This record gives sequence, C-alpha cells and structure tokens, in this order.
Amino acid sequence: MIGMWRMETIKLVRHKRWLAVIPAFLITTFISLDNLCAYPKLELNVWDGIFSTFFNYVYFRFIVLLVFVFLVTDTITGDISSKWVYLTLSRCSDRAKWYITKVASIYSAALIYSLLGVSIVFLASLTKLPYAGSLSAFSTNPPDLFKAMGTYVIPKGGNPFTLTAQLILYTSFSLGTFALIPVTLSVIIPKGQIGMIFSLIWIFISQFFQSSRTWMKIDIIPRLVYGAFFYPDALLDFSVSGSLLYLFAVAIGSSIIGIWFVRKADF
Amino acid sequence: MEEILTVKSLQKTIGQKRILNDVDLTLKSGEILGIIGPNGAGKSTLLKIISGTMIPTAGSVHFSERKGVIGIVPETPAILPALDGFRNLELLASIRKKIGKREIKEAMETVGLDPSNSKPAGTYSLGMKQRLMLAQAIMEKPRLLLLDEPTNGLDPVGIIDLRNLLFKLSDDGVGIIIASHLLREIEVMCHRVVIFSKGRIIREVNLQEQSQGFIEIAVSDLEDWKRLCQWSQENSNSLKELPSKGLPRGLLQTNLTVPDLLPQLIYAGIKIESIQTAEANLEAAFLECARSEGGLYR
Repeated sequence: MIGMWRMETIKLVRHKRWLAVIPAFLITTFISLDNLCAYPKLELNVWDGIFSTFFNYVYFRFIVLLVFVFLVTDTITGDISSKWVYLTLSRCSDRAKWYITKVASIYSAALIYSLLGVSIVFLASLTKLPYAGSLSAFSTNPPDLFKAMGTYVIPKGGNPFTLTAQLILYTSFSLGTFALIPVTLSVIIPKGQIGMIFSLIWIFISQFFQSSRTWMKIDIIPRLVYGAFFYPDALLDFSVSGSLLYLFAVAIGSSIIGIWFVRKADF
Repeated sequence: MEEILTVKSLQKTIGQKRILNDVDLTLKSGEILGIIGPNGAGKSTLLKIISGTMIPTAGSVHFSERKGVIGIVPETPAILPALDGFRNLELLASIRKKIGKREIKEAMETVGLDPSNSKPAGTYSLGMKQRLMLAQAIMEKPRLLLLDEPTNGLDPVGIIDLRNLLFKLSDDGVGIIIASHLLREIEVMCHRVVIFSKGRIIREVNLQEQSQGFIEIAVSDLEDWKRLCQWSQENSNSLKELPSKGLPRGLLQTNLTVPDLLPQLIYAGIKIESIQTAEANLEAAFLECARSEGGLYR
C-alpha cells in the first residue's frame, strides 16, 4: 500500500501542469505586496508577505484553492481516460485499498503544494520586504485604518516559524479535504472534468454568499483558510478545533462514500 | 495442461444494454486464446471483467491461483509521460513489490527497449509505448496475460517480436488471451479462437484442427470462378468465397491434396492463378459466422 501511495503521489506531482503553481503564487504575492507597500509607514517584514497572501479569502479561494483543485481533482477520471487504472487496479488486491491510497496521495500532494506555495511566496516577498526572525509590528498591532478595514491580527509573542509551519499543515489538510469532495463526485459520475467544474461553481457561489451567516456556517470554504482564526471582526468566529473537527468529518464522510462507490464501479 | 481460468455464465448489463450474455470460457496453462468480433461485441468488456476492473452482473471468473499475477496490455498505452520508461515500470512494480530493478531491466530488454534510455516516455513512438506496455505486463512473471489489440502501433518487426515473445511465454506455461481485429495475427498466434457477436460466443475454432482439409484457390476471372463453384457442387466439396480486391479467391474444403486437385481443376477448364494449402482458415470461419448471423456488423 505504501508503494501504491508513493506511486500515486509521484503521478500527481510529476506533471507539467504543476508548473502553473509558480506563476500563480508569484502573481498573488506581488498583488498582495503591492497593496501592503502602498502604505509607506507600515513596519513590515517578509512574514507579512506570507500571511497577507495566505490569509486573504479572495486570493485563497480563487488562486490557492482553484489551482490545487485543477491539479488533483481528475486523479480518477484521468486514470480512466488514460487507461492507467487498468495497470494499477489489477495490481492492487482490494479496491478499498486502491481508493485509500488515492486519498492519501491527495493529502501528500496538498502538503507538497503548500510547501511549494509558501516557499515561492517567501522568496518573492524577500524581493520587496526585509527578512526578520520575528513578527512585524503590522501583523501584531496593525494601524487603526487597517483594523477598520478588517485585517488579520496575530497575537503578540507569536513565532513566525511556528505560525508558518502551522499554516502549511492546516492548509495541506484543508486543501486535501476540499479536493476529496470533487474526487468523490468523480467516482459517482466519472465524466471528464466533472470535479473541476463542480469546484469552480462552488468557489464562485461561496464568494457571492459570504455575507450570509447561515451560508458561512455551512460552507466548508471559509474554514479552509488558516487566516480565518486571526480576523477579530469576522462575520463568524471560527475555532481551530471546531474547524478541524468539521474538516475531519468531511474527509471521513467523503472517503466512506468514495470507497462504497469504488467497490461497485466499472472502469 | 491444467485449467488456469474458468469463466462461467458471465453476464454484464450496462443500463438497458446487455454487453455480455452467458459467456463460458476456459483457458489452459500455456494456451493462447484469441477473441475476435466486431466493435462493441464485448471483447474488451470480457478482458476488463477477467482483470477485475469491471464487475460482472452475473456469473463468475475463477483464476486458479489466488495470488497469481495477471498481466494486462490495455487497448491504448497507459504511461506517465513525464517519467522515462524504466521509472514508469519501477513505480508500477512498487505496488506489488514482487520484483526489483534487475527483473524490470530484463523485461525491457525482452521487448526490445533500452532500460537506460532516459527520455520521457511521453516522447516515445506509439510502437515503443506499446512495447513498454508489454514490458509492464510480463515483468512480474504473470500466470495469465490479457492483451487488448496488442499489435496497435507495432511495426512489422515489432509484430514478429511480439509473436515470438508470446510463443515463449506460452512454452513457459503462461495462459494468454488476445482480443484483436486482425484475423491474420490471431490466426498465426493463437491455438484456439472464440468468435464474439452481440455479447456471446457464437463459435469456437480450434486452429490446429481446422487447418486440415482447406485449400485456398485464386482463379483468373469470374467465368472461372463460376466453373469452380459448379465443379465444387458436382464433387460435393464446400467452397467459400474470400473477400478479394484482385482475383476471385476462395477456400475449398476437400479431402484431396493440392497435387491431386490441380489436374482435376485444369481438366474442368478452370484457369488457376494460385493454389495452396490453407494453413488456417479463421477468415473462412469468421465469414461463415457472419453469414449465419445475418452479418456480424449489422
């Protein structure tokens, strides 16, 4: 099973379309930095580049999440159309195991994606912001103007390295969990880009309904953003444990449904 | 020879359409079985069910070895285009963990690929990709090999290599099933052939037995063809017309040998352009089935 998981991860990651990650994160970082650097008196450092990029709901939805969905959601439909499924499924003793390795490979790909994304954003931020071993004054105590606009506030005394590590781990888990939903759908309806289309529609709907408290409570997308825990004036106050529990339930639910359908599926 | 595969009363229905209808099949160790039939006859579906990628609606597939390996060559090559051929096989081998690098190299060399070629497999020609598929199918020493249109993209040398490889595997006791449209290739490669139509086996042909008693004749023109038809009726021999763009051509079933038959035909005034013992007569069997079914392709 470990061999299969390794193989599936390499298959997902060693793909030309992963090159899209570089321009996607570079563009997002520079847009984000342009917004911050427009205010000359702010005390910023390189970590602000990372947090302002990954904590922003719009960038997260339309770039970080969308690019990841584009990279992984056809893992099953792609295998069927390329006939790769015949080579792997016939080598795997159990269909459930085969699907579990698919799920595991999505999470591994999410971890690689988050690491890659944070590294790109960090390096790009270094071109405009100075390096520091601690959080900036802006991130722990932003000016009133920014507070009024609703910016993130990181508690004082936080360690940027720990915070970045937490960001990577949380983002990997949340991206992987979200991707499981369209992947499960593609097992039930194995048609071309069904997962991608479904995700795209969801991401847009989520953006338009973000002012609705009821929608925000149900919708998984706002909980995918690690920065959601650092907005003091947010519409909803998410807790880390509550969101992790929610994501965990979605991951288990999607996997069980996926396994149930995979056991009966024709490839 | 022991039976390694038994397929019993296999049925497959997708939606309202019955793809397979009560298919019974056995395969012995070392036997090469061909499956022929028109598009949509159910050949690929049968292979998918045997390989476990499709689930039957009813019936059973029994592979004699519980943990035996099945090798599969799909209809179109399935590769990871960014990786080289060796890495592709190495990753596939890592699923079962039965073999190491040495066996992978051996398999690649057996099918005529260079294991040290570091070019991405996506840049390979169709023939090379097909060879890579063969290598992945044989590298783990399967007891059963399933090939769906294996000659797709292979050049003439590749087809001959494939034939020799299959004969060698057969001698080693591997049971082989080949689904193909190419009657000639099936005829040369297989011991036995089943003809599929509308999801069922309509005829089974043992090529070794059937090759006796058939003579292929080409005559000069239609007048000679009519004379040949008349001669065969008068002498109670069966004559089947073979499709031909050139000279009229047919397959005569007779107890006579070519040296005995030839003077009789000349005496009957039939101008013979070519005459030879037919080594196998799959085409005739297929056409006969087509006639009895009212045309397989209708």
